[in-house]
Amino acid sequence: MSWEQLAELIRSILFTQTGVPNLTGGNVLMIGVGLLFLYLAIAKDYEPLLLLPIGFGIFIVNFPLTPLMGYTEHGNPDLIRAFYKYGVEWEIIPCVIFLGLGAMTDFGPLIANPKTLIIGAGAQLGVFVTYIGTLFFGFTLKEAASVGIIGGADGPTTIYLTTKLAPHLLGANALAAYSYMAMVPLIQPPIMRWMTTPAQRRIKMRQLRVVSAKEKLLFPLIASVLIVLLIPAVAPLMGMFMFGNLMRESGVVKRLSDTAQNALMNIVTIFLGLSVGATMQAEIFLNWKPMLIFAFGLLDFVVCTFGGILTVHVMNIFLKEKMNPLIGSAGVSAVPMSARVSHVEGLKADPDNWLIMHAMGPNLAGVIGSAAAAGMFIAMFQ
Amino acid sequence: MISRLFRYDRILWYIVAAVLPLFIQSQSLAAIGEDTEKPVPEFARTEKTITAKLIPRAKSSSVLIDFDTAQGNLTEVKGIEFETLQTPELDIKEFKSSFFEVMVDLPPGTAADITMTSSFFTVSTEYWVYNAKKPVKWANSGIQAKKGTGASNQFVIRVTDGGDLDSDGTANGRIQLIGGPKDYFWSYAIGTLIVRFFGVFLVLSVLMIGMLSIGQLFIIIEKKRIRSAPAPYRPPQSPPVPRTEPSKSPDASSTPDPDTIAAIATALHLHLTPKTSPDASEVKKVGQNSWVQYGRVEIQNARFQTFLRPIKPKNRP
Repeated sequence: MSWEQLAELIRSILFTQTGVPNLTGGNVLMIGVGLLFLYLAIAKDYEPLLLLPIGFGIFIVNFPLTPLMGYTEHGNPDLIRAFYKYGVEWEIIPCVIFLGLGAMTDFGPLIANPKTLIIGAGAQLGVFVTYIGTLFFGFTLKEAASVGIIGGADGPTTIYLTTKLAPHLLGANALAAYSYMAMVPLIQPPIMRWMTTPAQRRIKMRQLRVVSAKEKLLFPLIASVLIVLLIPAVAPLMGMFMFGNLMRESGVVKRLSDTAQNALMNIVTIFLGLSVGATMQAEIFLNWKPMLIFAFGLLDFVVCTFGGILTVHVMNIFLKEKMNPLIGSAGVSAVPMSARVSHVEGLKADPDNWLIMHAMGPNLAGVIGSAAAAGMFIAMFQ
Repeated sequence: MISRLFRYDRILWYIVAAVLPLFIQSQSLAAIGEDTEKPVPEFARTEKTITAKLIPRAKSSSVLIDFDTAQGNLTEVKGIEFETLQTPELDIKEFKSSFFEVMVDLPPGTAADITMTSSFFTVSTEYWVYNAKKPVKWANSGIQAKKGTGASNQFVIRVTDGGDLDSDGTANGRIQLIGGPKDYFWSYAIGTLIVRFFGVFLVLSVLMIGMLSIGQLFIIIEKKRIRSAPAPYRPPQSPPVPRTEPSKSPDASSTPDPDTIAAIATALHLHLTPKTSPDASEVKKVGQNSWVQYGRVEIQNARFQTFLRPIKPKNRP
């Protein structure tokens, strides 16, 4: 072999089999973004269960020539593409996560005070305001709906709807949803203080009644009947959510309930995080849309918080026993973070005012409300 | 240093600062609107009717549009991409199915009624037509959609060969109708938004009413159950036991045997002590009863006898 041939071989190996010469500025930028989210997850503890796998997904997929998100010559998906294809594209993982969430959820506070369901509906205001706002900026109807649902503050719902309507925005939407959910303790308190007087923040609510085991057992069945009858499009999400809850409340399938809450949930979270992160390849992700999505996501959370508190104010006009408007902000979902924020703000106004259980009602109503809003959007495009 | 850079509030400000220029200069956003939902119609002929099957913009499922004519021969229907005939006043979002070119062969100079039927059309849908030879190329045909069979609506457009709606503009024995259905975007977007927002309220209100009703039912059932449950047992009032100071060394002839005394004392103790978790003060009060104290002493003595019994060798016969 001559020196020329050797140089040709080395050049060929360098350019076709190693990543270094193929590394673009976009790749480097996205690797930086991946590292940023890894830092936020590890050092700052921002939603680490999701942001860590998402961050690593962004990080690893942006190295050039990696066989992760493509297809082989025979048409078989690469490793993370397979997770994405069968888990996310087939809309399985978000529903399985809803199963786990259902198995984890105690609907007692919501059953004890069903009026808080209305707060969950009011807190979807931001979803619809953002939907209109994004349309002004050139988004299509489907894209606008998928961005709007970020304000529902429900990761699986956001992923489910985005996969259905605008899969090319999946990475940005999921990232915005989980990032802002982690920032709920920062976003909500100023709005809560701005929208309430000190006297309103001190309102004490009557202790919730005890909910019997039979009521809790019946709830998933009744809720399934009513919601699925009215919005059939949301049956995959709500059906799994209520099935998980039925397993929990029945008490006869503790092993299944335990698996849904822990092992299954953890497994799918790994696949979901990696897949969502891996959709953020430089050549797809680097444009103006993700930036706008982040901006509208923030607006969405703000308006949803506003809508929840406003709904409590309106309800208080008609109610004999007034509700503390601080629980309105919990209607944005983000379970249980936003309920905790309501509680902490309540304690600041009155150290004896324990709002956590009262705030859990609208918090759970927010989950149902955001799923209902997602169902409305899905039905709109059918 | 790094941790200060990534404080919650600073991150938010970074996002706001990055995005603010976009809000100020909204023209820069024109680049965003690429057509990600381009409809691709497929055509199939069944006798005289040609059916277009396509997924329109803002839809996830396909729709069917039937083209037909009562006069002449419907020779061909083609799909035309929006960009090819776009003029500045047209908004791509309003032409969800893009455009169609319908060709009908008929005797020169005569007219044909071209019928388009679809459940995709609404009563507010307009049919816009294109004529390259006119100063204003795109115009509303002015024809209202009529109710068709089932859920479908129908446009019937009378086109004369060489007339205004014939895009080739000549009486050559072929009608070329180029156009497409138009739905006003903003009225649809805002209308459906309001309906769906109140839809969420409606769904959760129905759930609330259901839960309130069932909750009330459970409360009533619980109250009934409590009312019908047998009252807790209350022992008959016995005459008060005369309080006598226990003698320090009871006379053997006047007192029963120790076992009986211990049994009575224990019974009294159990009767006077609350069944569940008595607090220390109550136990003390009960313990002040002389009979009880005596009973306890006897029990303790009996236990001591066990402890004080002589130890026997292990390997006894």
